[in-house]
Amino acid sequence: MRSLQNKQTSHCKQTIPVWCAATPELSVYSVMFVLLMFCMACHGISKSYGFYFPADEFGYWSFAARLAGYDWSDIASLSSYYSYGYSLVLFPVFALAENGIAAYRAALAVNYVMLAACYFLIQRVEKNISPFSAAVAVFYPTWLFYAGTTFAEILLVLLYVVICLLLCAYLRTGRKYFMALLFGAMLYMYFVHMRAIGVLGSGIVTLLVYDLCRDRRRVRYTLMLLLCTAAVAVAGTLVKNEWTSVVYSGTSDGLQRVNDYAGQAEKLLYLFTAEGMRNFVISVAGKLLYLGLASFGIAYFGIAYAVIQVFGKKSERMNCFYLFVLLSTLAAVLISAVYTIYPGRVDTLAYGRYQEYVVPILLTAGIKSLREKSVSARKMARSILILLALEAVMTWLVTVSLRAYGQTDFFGNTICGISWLYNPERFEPVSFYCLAYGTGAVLTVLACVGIWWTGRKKAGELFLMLLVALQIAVSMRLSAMYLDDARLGCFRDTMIMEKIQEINTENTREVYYSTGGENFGNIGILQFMMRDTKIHIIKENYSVANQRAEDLLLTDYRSSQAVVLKEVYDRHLTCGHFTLFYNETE
Amino acid sequence: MCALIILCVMGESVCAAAAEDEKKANTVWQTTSDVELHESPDAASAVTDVLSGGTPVMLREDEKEGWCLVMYQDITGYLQSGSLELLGSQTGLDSEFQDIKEAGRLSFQEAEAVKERIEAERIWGAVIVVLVTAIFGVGILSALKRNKSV
Repeated sequence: MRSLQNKQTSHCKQTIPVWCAATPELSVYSVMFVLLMFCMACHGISKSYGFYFPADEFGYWSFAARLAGYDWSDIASLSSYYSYGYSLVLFPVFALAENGIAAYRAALAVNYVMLAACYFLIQRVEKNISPFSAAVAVFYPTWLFYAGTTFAEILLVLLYVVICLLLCAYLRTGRKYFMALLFGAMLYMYFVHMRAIGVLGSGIVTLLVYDLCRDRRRVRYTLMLLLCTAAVAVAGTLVKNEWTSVVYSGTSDGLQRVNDYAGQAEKLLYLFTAEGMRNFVISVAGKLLYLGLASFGIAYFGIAYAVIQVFGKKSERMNCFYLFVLLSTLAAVLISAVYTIYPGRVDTLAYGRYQEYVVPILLTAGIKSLREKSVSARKMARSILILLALEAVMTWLVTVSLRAYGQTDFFGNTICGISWLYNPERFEPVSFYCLAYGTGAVLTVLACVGIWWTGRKKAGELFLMLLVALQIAVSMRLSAMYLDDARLGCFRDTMIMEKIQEINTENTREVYYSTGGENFGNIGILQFMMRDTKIHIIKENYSVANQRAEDLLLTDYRSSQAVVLKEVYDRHLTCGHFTLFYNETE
Repeated sequence: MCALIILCVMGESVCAAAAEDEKKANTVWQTTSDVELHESPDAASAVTDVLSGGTPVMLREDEKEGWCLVMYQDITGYLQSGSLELLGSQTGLDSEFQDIKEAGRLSFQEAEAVKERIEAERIWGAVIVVLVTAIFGVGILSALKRNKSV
């Protein structure tokens, strides 16, 4: 193990983590953790047939399909814009797979490979990160949940870890190509999801601060690289606009703006009203509350550790790496808070999904700080009490919003860290958050005190393994609660797909989907499965005059058009998300 | 002669039409409006139940003198045949039964798939538990070995 190296300059003393801080031991533990990840992958992939959340996932796949020569613009027009960065990863998977189900499963396998890569890369970011600490960071329930879907979350986590690694490399060696790679990674992360603009901003600030402290002559180089990055960003935006006009050609402007910056302008204006300011404070409180509850309080210790490294009186040195961690965490929380500033659903108050990519680094930093020998029992007890008191205040603020606006809708996938406590039969929003706080408080005390008390001894590693086992159990519960029903629904949709293929063997019959003026959004599942058959969308109410008798018609299984259509067509079949209507032909 | 032939043809077509409209046993009809069920084929007899309009009923016997013995769920009684209409054409019913058969086949297929899925889940779940236990085991052994050497 290399010892920590200090580099001092005439301008600024700083501790730079050794970029290759510890070569991850290809130990028995690492092999076993990779095997464990493989088993989790097999457990999840074998029962996956299609999308969990069609609107988002179809958005990412539609760009990939376009690159492969398929035109799904009809269906893409039913939802808002999604960034194309993740689509670049999905494109080779889509092109190489034989069919939709194989492509989806291959993409899930890629997710698990990326998680396994995170496990090894995290151990290189910081010194003294054991395989168990890295396992706690990577077997985080939210990642194991999202690895079973084709959301961009896993890619974002990997990119964040890579960015941290590149930053450490640059801080250690000062080599310019690390900085260039760093800018490239941050820009790509931005094109994967626009919320990563916080990471880009934090990285630029960190590098400028580092240059000002270390060697002002380097500022020129950093600014030059920044200009190049800006030019690439502009080019990327032009590409985005071009592709959007093709893939989302039928989407209305209002709908397209929902996930784009244009759609956030109103929120920024709302922020400067009295109500908006109040909701913003509650929104920030909810995001911070979620970070603590989901990570069993360890993330808070990670934030405290980062603050001490940057501002602590103990050390005169400024640690640029932790400055980046702090800034990117702050940016993630603020961006998430602004995006969910309107009182919408119960889960939007916490909305962990938009800031959780910083959690792995915060977890490893938190575990590191808890294991420091210098932390006394008194200090530990005081820290825990302050933490619990802050969480109580934040929970109260969240319940104030719930009582004021009466939200009742709930999406569990955005707050995986606490939604495993959700009971649909007896759901009451205020009680849910109180339960989350109570459970989180108990787990926080157990986890933080356990890590602190067991320290760096062997028992410490076993305790971390206990946390990993708990995380795996939570992720399995999340999968059973939210993914299994969706997977069964997609399996049933494959039966509709097979029926269509059975009826339409020569591919001469057109397939239509009538929305009936409503937007249920699931048709993307079927189009993805039947990539070679274009599904045409009828947005207005169905009209017999426009269809040929031999054409096939799909509606959502809940659609009110079914009563009329059953009289018009000879046969109908309801399965999964759809009802298929068709006439017998000779 | 021609008139006779025409009459025969007309009779045949009427008979053909009547065939579908004949209220025969074990056929399915539906009520046209709210209608009373009687104990016997007599309007003066006691009313056993009331069926609302559009209720599908099965005929237990052929129509007799304007009355039909019908069954709906576990209710049986007589009602006037004028208050019954065809539920659907024979062709329509055939299609509907085929759709039901198809849905049944798909349900069976789904049940098989769910059974396989549960089996696979159990296997992988067991492997995960074994691996987690193994990691604990290796850790404990390693700790004991270290204590011994100290």
